[in-house]
Amino acid sequence: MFHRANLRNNSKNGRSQVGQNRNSKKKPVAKLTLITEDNESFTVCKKVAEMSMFFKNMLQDTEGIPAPFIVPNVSGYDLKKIIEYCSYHCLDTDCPNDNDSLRSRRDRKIGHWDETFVRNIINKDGDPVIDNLVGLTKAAYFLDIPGLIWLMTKSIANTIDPKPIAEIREIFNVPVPSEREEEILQR
Amino acid sequence: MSVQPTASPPLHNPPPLPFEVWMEIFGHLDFPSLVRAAKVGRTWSVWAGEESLWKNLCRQHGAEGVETIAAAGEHADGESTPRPPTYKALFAAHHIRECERRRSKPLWASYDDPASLRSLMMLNGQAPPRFGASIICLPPVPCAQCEQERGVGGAVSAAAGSSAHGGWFWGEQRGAGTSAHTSPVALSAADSMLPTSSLSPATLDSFSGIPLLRQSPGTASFNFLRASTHAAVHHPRRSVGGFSRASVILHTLTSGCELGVGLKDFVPRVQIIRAPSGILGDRERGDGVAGLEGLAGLLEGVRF
Repeated sequence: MFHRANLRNNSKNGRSQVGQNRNSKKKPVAKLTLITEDNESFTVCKKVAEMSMFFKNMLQDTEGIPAPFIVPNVSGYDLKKIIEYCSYHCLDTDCPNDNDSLRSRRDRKIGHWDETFVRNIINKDGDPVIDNLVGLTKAAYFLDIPGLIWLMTKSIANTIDPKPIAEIREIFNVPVPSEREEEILQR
Repeated sequence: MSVQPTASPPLHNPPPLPFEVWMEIFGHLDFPSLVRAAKVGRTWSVWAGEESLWKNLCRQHGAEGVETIAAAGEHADGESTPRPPTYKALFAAHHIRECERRRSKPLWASYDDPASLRSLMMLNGQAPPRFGASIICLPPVPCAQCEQERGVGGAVSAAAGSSAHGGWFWGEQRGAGTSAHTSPVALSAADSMLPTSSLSPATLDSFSGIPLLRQSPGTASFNFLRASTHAAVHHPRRSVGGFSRASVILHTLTSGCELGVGLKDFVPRVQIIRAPSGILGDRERGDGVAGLEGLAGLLEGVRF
């Protein structure tokens, strides 16, 4: 419980969460060093990393902690957010992290912490929001974190849900179809 | 963001996502959003038409006949058996049915009002047992046309072009489904619960210009695509004679079905009940339409 409260605090100040996480541990636990494609390095404990099926399988296969692992296809920003998500949810039993239980509860609402988490992505220094959402979704898909994939896809769906067609085209960079194509689509 | 004139032209440049992720995203959308998403672009329309999405929607909304598709899939042996309708068609039929149910306005009759009691007797064939309340709801007037029309996929509503949900959606559906496998959802006459002798599409055609799709004999029937609202009501006098225009209008008014909306003298219910006599014209006398002073007057000419 102490650890969990600590995590809550960490997620509030967000940034230096990973480092504090390490310090708060009493005994040394298995750690994993990750280096992203843009040369940012993160150290996470094994339990956090195992939220990702990708790392879980990898750790099972290698039977031990490998040397600093280079994560391809994932940017530093994305990995930071992913670690933030994982270190909160690795202790959260309410939030299912496997595909079957996620599928069976389709009408699940986004939790309070998750909502704040998504809103923080949105607020990141004025950049186009959806790009970050989509980028994070792609990273989550690559690292295979079902809970995060669910959260991200739900958020994207919520974003495009009330928007008119023209705006969706603009957001997702879909070329406006020619008149003839549009006629076909209208049918 | 559009207010910044200095912004570079491609405002957004999200990285491409794999197909599975798009399916997850579309899986969170509901029916209207999914249809809208299909209009965004060609790729989007292919994605939004994915059968697994519609299968999930069918499951969620409890559309009838899902297990029939599964069963048909098991027994499919090439050309001899007709292909089952797609999940998309199934959901569309379900959606139209739901809209109908929501739109239907039951007529009300009162025991204290002899005129409406008379109309009630005309609909039911007998006076219903009197319960405590003096107001009774008349059941939707059933019709065989409606059943058949449900079966062939809302041809009438598409032709009338009057519905918010029907026209475009069914238009697409007819293009995608009906032409691909020859009339997949036509109901066979033998299988119909209703006596089809009471049905005369020629009469409808002649005065409304609505292209009713004819049923093709021998095609297998998919009963679940029928409108259950109308089929559920048994009417003792239904098999007598053909349908008049007044009965079509009455049916439209009470059931929410759009059959009569395309008729050129269709007016909303409140008006038609209060309309002076003769709004349907004397030339319809042959069909038995009498005066329209009230509800009873409207019902007087209806032959079931």
